[in-house]
Amino acid sequence: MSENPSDESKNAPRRRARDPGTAAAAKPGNPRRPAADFGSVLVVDDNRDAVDILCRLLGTQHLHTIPAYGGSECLDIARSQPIDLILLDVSMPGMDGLAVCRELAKEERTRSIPIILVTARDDHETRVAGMRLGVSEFLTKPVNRAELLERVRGQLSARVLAREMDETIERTPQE
Amino acid sequence: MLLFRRLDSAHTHRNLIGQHPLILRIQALIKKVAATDATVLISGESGTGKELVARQIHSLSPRAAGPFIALNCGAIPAELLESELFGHERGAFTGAVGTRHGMFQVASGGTIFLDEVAEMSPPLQVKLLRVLQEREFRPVGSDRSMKTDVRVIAASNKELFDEVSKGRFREDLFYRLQVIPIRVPPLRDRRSDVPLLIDHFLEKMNARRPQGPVRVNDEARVQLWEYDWPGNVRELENVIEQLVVLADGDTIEAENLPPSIRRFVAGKHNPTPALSDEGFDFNRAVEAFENQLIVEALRRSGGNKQAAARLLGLKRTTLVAKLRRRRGGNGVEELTP
Repeated sequence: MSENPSDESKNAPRRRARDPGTAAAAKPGNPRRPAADFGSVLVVDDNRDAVDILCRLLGTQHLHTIPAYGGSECLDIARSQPIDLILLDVSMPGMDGLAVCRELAKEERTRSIPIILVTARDDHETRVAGMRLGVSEFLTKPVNRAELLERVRGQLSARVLAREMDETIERTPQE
Repeated sequence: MLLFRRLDSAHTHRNLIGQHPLILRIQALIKKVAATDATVLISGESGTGKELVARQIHSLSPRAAGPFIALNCGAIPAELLESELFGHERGAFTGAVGTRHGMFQVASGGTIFLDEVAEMSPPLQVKLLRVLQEREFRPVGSDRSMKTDVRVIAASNKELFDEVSKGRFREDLFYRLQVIPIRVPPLRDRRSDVPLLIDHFLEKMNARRPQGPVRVNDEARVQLWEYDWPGNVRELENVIEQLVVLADGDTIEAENLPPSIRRFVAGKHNPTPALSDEGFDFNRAVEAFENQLIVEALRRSGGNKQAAARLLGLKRTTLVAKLRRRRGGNGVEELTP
């Protein structure tokens, strides 16, 4: 699907982007947007093994991932690259995940990036903080792979839908 | 029998609530599309607020002074639906004792909202296509066509494109309907709006509560936030209404939430551990699960072991023994909230 609204017929059927990142979506000949076009997922954890496992898992779904090993690195990447989703650990040395959420919320460029907290910190305070900071999902380690992929798909679908709506708003005439 | 509903005053001030980027975009699109006369196709799961979007478009449009008529195509038998939409002449069929106006006459100058449009039969799809193309229709049993001046907004909780692919919905009608597509996301994909919606419905329900307002405490609120809401905003509204009506005191706590929500949230936090190739330490996994339950019970009971044991369905002595056993490894301090 083109980013340029002029490339599309006004009445072209607009498919639901309900399963971005699935292997099926990336198959040659499938008219759906190639999985790589669903954007980049920033995977943040101070534990390199955890980052590696998550990146490999998302890679099996043809999603583009960017690793980051701390809060500051996450912020640097989110400020400088187009990111569609952040998988964020909470307990990290230096800037923790909740502090990262607060920083991301301050800036126009990063404010609307959906965040999935992936954390072993399952306590009441962390969950309430996640809710108040407006994160999109809260997943507890050890993460169930199927659930993680479902949540990632949901958030990426919403991002694709937002882009499609921007195109619709753009092409709707103001009378 | 009243098979369709007119817009009444109770509906005129209801808007789609939310601050999620998708809701802000829908609001922007509603304003823009309201100024046009374009046909709109609203899609989304049940309970997401499709009719609310249609009503908002109508309310902001130049047709706002005209009628808004909503009809659920899935709730009416196919043979009746044609007559409801287009009206009939006297004697058109058995039981047609008089002439009856259909929606396309009643809604003249206003808006027709066709919900569950995918349920419409193929012959009726042809008639609807004619209305959209020619702006005219023929009542059942009549030999003359009538002009109509209505805006059509359709909605479907099914993926209409898939229905076209399966041959169940006319492709030409699909194109005619979705001149402007609006997709309302499920609530789980805009979870950050849940606290805002809780407050909105709480305020609405509290206004009708003679005993005074109730509040939702943090734990109950976070559990509502974590729930997936398969019935979407409608389900959330119903749950808040139920909680407010049944509230004993002035605070709704996690214990007051419906068991289905509590079970779902508990399942999220105690996921079934996946068995890796190397297997896993069964005793450690069970111990970790016990620890979680004990910590939560102690937190809720403010550290009172008797109350915590009651919450866990254990004798106090059993709980104390478990705490002692953990003193070496995890330590009682770690288990105390």
